[in-house]
Amino acid sequence: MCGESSVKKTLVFVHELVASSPTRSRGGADGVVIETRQRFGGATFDLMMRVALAVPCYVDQFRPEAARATLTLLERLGCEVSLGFDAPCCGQPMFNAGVVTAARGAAHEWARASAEFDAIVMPSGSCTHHVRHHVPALLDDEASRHAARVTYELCEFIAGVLGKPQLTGRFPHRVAMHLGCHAQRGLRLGGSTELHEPPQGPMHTLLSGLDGVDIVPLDRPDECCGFGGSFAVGEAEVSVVMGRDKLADVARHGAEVLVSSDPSCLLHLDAIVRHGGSSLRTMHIAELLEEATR
Amino acid sequence: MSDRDIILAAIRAARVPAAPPASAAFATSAAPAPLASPSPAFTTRTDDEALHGAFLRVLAEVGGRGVICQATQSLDELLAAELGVDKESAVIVRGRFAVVENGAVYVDAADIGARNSIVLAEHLVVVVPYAAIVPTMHEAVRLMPVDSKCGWFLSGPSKTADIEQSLVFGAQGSRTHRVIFEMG
Amino acid sequence: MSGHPAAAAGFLIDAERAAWHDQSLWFMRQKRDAGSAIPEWESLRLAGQALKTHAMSRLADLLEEFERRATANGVQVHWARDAQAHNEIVLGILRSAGVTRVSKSKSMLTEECGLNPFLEAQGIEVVDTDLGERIVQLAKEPPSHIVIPAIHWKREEIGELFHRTMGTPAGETSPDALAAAARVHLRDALLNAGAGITGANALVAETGGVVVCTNEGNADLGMHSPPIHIACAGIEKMIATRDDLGVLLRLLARSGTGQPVTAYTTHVTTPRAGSAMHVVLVDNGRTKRLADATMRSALHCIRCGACLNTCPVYRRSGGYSYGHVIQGPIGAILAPAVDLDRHHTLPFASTLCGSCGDVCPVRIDIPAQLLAWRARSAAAGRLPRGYASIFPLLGRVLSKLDRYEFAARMARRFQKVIPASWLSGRWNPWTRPGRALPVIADESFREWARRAGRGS
Ligand code: SF4
Repeated sequence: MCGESSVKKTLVFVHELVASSPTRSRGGADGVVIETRQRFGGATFDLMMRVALAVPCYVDQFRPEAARATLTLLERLGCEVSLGFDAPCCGQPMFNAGVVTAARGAAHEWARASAEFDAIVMPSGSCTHHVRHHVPALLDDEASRHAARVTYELCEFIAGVLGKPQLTGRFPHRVAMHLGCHAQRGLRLGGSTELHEPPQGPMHTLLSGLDGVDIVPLDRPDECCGFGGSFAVGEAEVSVVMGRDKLADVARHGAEVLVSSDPSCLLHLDAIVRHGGSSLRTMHIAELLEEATR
Repeated sequence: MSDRDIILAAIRAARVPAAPPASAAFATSAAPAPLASPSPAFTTRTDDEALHGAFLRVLAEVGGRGVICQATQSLDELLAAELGVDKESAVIVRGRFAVVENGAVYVDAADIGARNSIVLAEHLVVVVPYAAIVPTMHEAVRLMPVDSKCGWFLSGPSKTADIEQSLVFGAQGSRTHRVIFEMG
Repeated sequence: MSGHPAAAAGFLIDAERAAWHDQSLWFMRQKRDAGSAIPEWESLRLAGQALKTHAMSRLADLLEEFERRATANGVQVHWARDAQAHNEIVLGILRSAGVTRVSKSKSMLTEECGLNPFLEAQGIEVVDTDLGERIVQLAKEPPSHIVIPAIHWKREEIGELFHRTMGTPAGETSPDALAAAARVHLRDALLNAGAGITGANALVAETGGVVVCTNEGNADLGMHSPPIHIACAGIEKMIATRDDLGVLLRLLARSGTGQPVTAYTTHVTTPRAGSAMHVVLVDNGRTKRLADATMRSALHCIRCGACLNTCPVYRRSGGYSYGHVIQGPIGAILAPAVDLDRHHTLPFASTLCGSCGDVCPVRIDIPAQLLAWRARSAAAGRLPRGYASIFPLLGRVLSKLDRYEFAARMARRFQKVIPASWLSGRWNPWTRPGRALPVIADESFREWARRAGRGS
């Protein structure tokens, strides 16, 4: 009934299946470089581009040191950075809360401020995700599409656009990495366990390239920390349990430092750390890279 | 209007945009491209022995047991040796083919007595021709007889993990499940 | 608090149990990761999405084709516009055959339609025969998970329940012994029922077949033993071809439990000699969703349970916190379509982490639909408490730099003068469950930049 020839035929079928698997857009360092080359028509990146640092509202107020570290780091890497970006917020908090009308005004202002820059760097994965994936759909105009095209999360900018996936620096500590879900699954800047991917992506590459650093493996490397914007207060109890579980995972593996590319995750996790009085040091990736490359 | 007409009219009124059949999404490339990544044994090995080996391994993983009946051996002898005293309460049925990727065998209702006999059996034995083996479900579904009234893919014994996720075999159907490949 | 947040907070009071629940489901997620680690997995997911999208685009034709073949094979096909019609059809079949006792294998559709209480009110006894479903039925509870209905039960509690209801020895907690007792108890119900009801994992237009997947084998005992088999299925279970079935079967069990396929996969097209087979095709809101382009793909769900297992919120809030027959992320996008008023907190019961979308075997973009439901809730004036007063105002403040900076300066000043003890009072959901107050920096980044002569 089912001799060798039919087996062979079906094997070809399986081969086709595997071969036709699409290359997903991914944010690994290489992916960003390629994507960037495409965006800029194959030209290598010109450092004379007008690069702006865009500081999300809550970073501006609650963690200005992350913004200053970002600035120092970018300048150390040879960028000329403008601080003239004059919109306070991309509108994500309102958008994710469902209040789309209230999100529009902020997004509009954000897109307007983007117009004069060729690259906008944000030390936040979730804001970048919002600008890239939601704002163009929300406003449906050229300004918002421009903003989406030129906005980069810090690590993808350094590793991809600047083409420096490895920095010369030293950070001799046990570090636990938390990417933040919007960078992880929205921007695809990390390897996802759901997709059977190994740890990868620009933040992982930058971090693991430092001398002396010991990245501890977590039991649940890409589990959400529980911040989730309005979720943090709307579902406060679940939010805090998620945060505690994340920190317990970090503690179980003896990390001294918890580093994230997302300051909103840090705002939440740091508040739990301070409440519980643990000695864990929470750092934004910009702070860590800046310290490591001094 | 009958419920039938109401439902069909509502579906048509929804005007869902046309979408191509699924096969177009994954199996239409005329010239097979070289493999992008190494695959596990069952999708890359072409020799029969590897297929059977992989099948037996997967079957063991799902709680079943597989045996290849050698040409020198009679099926009855093998069954006697395999089942021992369980022979009394065993049900032995013919299977049409085996599926490597999930350790399943296809049994058609046309080949057995009462349909529920495969579940009522304490010990189930499925005898499958040695050559009747396919790598995955893609081939398997195409081998289901077109005039089948009822058929099963059986993968290991009955099982449950509904009590604190501890795996228990023989939940409601067969407690043991054997597949015997018959030569010739 | 009300709705999901209140129910979730209630679930978390027993912290130890909540942690156990979380770990049990994380274990399922890990089994899924291992079971789905085959090279062509992502292609398979694309194929799963494509076959469902295709089936929905030709749904009326496929249903007619299925009906034609099934009828030719001697199956009686019924159509039900809603839950009531479905229940009446099943009752009619049972009544005309004088059946007073039925067995039922797992079917989320019959849960959705409330078939059990309906039949029981008519004097018909229904025994759920999936072990997990039988546990919750004996306890007079609904399932808390679509695949593992009694995931929230501990073995000691099951032992106690079985002792009370089946007479197992007091203190018996071994899963082997308890499952063995249930086997005897359920066989009796399965073999002595006047009819067996099952759900359907798929209806195949090309073959006219009904496909049912179980691990226990209870559906097969139920459909092949009594003189009547009734399969109840939502119309979205329709798929076009046997090739599609191959893809679906490769995806289903791997996503749900990590198994390569369920122990029993039954494809039945024709009633056995001397018995009757009925298929009830149910709409109950599905055509309305089909007409809703934004939310349509929620109909692709094959009820594998993977999105529940991976959801960090579901794991820590339990199935009952959703207050709906389908729980977790998929429940959170299905329930609002049934009753937005009642379920308006569900789309907000998510951090939008995206894990559900990445595990879904048919690639339903659940996060996008959660967001879309949030927007609809807002438009309908049904935001969670507090949202309606905070976010529109926040939107105004954050849309202009000068307003924002003014508000920030005020907040900083307030922070200095208002006692921290008041700021972190019970009223404050940020601090209440155990978080320190956020601290507004003395100098914002923008202020520093201006001071350094570089700012805007
Ligand atoms: S939405 Fe997807 S992951 Fe969730 S139960 Fe349905 S098919 Fe499974």
